[in-house]
Amino acid sequence: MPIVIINLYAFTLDPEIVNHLKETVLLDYIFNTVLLIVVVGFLTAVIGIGSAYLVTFCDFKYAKFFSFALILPFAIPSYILGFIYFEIFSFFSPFHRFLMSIGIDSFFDVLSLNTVIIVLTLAFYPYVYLIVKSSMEKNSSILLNPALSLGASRTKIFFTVLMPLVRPAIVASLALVMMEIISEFGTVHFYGIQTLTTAIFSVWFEMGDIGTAAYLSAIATGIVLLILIVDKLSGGRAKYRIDGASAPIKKIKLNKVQSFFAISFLAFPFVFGFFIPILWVIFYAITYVERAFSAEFIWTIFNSFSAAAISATVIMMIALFLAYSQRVYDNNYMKYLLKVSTLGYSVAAAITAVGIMVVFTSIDHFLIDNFGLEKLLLSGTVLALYYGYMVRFLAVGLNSVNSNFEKVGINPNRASRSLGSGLFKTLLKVDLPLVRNGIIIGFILVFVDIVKELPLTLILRPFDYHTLSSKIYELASIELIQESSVFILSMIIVCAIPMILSLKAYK
Amino acid sequence: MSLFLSNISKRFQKTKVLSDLSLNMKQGEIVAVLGKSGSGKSTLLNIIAGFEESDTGEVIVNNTTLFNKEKSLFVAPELRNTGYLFQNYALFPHMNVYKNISFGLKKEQNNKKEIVEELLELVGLSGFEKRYPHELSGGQQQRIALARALAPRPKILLLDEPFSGLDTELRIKTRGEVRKIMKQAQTTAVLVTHDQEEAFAIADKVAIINQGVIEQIDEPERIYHFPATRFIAEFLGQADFIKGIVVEKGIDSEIGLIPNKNSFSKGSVVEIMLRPENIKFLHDENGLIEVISRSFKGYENLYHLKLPSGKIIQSSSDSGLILEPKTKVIIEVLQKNVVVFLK
Repeated sequence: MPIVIINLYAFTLDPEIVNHLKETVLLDYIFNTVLLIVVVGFLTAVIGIGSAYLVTFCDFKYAKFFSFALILPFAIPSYILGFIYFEIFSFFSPFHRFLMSIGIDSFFDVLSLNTVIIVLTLAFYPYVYLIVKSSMEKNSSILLNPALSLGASRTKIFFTVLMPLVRPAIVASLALVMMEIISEFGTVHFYGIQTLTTAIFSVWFEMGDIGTAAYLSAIATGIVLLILIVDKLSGGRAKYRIDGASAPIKKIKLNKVQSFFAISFLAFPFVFGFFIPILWVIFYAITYVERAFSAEFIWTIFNSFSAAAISATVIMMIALFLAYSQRVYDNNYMKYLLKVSTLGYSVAAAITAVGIMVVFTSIDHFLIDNFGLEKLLLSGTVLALYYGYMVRFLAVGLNSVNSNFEKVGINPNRASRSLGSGLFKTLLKVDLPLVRNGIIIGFILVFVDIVKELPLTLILRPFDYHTLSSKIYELASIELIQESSVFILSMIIVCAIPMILSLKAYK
Repeated sequence: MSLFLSNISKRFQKTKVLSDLSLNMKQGEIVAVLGKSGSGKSTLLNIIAGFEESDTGEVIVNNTTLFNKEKSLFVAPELRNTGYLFQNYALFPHMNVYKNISFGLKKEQNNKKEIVEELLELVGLSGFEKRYPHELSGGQQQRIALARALAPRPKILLLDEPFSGLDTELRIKTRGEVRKIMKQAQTTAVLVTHDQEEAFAIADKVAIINQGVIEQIDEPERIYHFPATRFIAEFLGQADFIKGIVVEKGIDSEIGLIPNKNSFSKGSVVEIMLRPENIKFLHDENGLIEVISRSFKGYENLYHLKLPSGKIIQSSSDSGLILEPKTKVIIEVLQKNVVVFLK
């Protein structure tokens, strides 16, 4: 709902401001946004598809290690990666001083679009890697073994059989990456790149101008819709269904030279996306841990934890309710409701946040005017923040529950009902135990997403209320990045533990 | 416990799955609904069970109306007391055999233990209470699923391709057992399948469903030998068709004069259905019919014979009778089972 309202607001805008925008900076915003989408989209595709192929189909030393290690960069939010690399390569960094001491003087400017592109690529390629890899694993052997037995070469198979098969996965994962890029705030803002999202922030925070924010949001939503349409048109949602036992495919054994190149290719995203940043964080966290330890530090962790835990719990309850309703009342109305309820994930977080602000503020004003309420009930409270998380991440939880229900199939539910158990008892005794894993995994995914979330948190958090993400951002924006390392490490630990647990639950 | 269906229709978007289907079953009767995949047979079961709602008509079990479109009456599946045996058994994987079987028993029932034991004995798996579904073989899972479905003493039992997950040997054994169990429990049952052997083996009556309509319902033997439509004739077993014309004394055709049992009017063009087992032949150098090929089936030889017109028909004969291709023969048609359709 907030998303619809914010887009309606766009039409109430004073045309003069629009013209002024158009003449000045609007084109820059759009250009930067689209440029990031295209370049980062391309790079994540190359790294994601390439590494997924290597670990799925090739046999070399450390292949197993990389298969797991390449997921790890997911634990570090893009904005943190951005802060860390700024810190490492900035003019006054130890690294740069070292370079100067050995006589290398001229040095690239870290505050540039190029750095942003690299950072975002490192942060977002795991989407492509994970989704494409699982699609390759699922599809590969059943169709590839026949293709191999027909005598096709590996290269030919890659382009004629494998690529068309995993194309839906590629398109879907790239669509996710692109939506993340549109939503991205922390890094681009810090590096001074103006995009639609940063523009929404500045008109909202600096000018309090809802109309212009709404106008920019509408453009961003338009780009998202365009991506979704392309995704749909290219059959991105089409599901190839292949049934049958999967025989393991024979992996290609790489020789020494090939292995060297494969490992170098895989090492790049791992080393720069995880290894170096994590070393940096640990190093500075040890340095600063005593200074950072305070009541505020504990409160910040508690805030993050409670916000994530409460929102994720509510999300999973709503997700279970929606998924179960669709399971037993499978009609078009339900499908529509489900689609709408997951829209929040595709729209940029800043837009959702501004929309919620607008709606909640007007409800509050209505309450104050009519019922003599003395303070704001909704806007600027944790309720608004929790609600924002729900709008944004319901889709994640719903996906997880739904895919589990699909795996289980409708028959256990029907068996239970034909044996005389009503809908509620069936849910409790049969369906819930069967999708328990899906609910746990969904909860963890949502939890991690919420802990990492930045733009929505910045807009909706109450005054003087900090979560780990907003605290890290605040410290970084006053160039206390080293000091923020303790918070970063806390966040990575808070995120990594459930991620490792979820991996175990899958096995 | 009788079952009465009238004017059941179901449409999914643009495809019509069932149209105006009616079915009437007596207490204790086992009916197999036989049809190709996509013929609407599973939808029919779902409508009886209440998992789907018919667009029209009525469902009555044992004089209780479970569904009536006109009166907008719809009894929820959990209140219908229909047992359902699923293709993949759908045992609850997180419950052991005892919990699975007792799942449908009422809380008040204090003789749960005896009922479960009794059912396990009935399906020949006494002592399996503590096992979990994944510890059972396919055939065992299937029998536990049957016991679970029978536990609440359903008014009617619905079986959806219940044997398709089993390998051939086990399938034949199990379906015999299941029939015995159902007869012992005097269950009224509807089974849907695409396998005619299965339908014949288990059912008192077979209903042939085609394009959403029951084309014929009858005892297995009658339905095989006297199919009501050409579709059924071709669907059940091997059949060849030759042209005939109705004359004064019967039906004139390439294989001789056939009695006009249906009293078709003179001059009508008809098709005569010939099953391989109704054609017998003898070696005769002066015969006008020629052996084309023979395939050895073990218990019989299936011959392809060429009639003078060039039409090829099949004949099954003794597995000891071996004739080379091009041998001339004369044939005899066992007239008792010849079926004629108006063209």
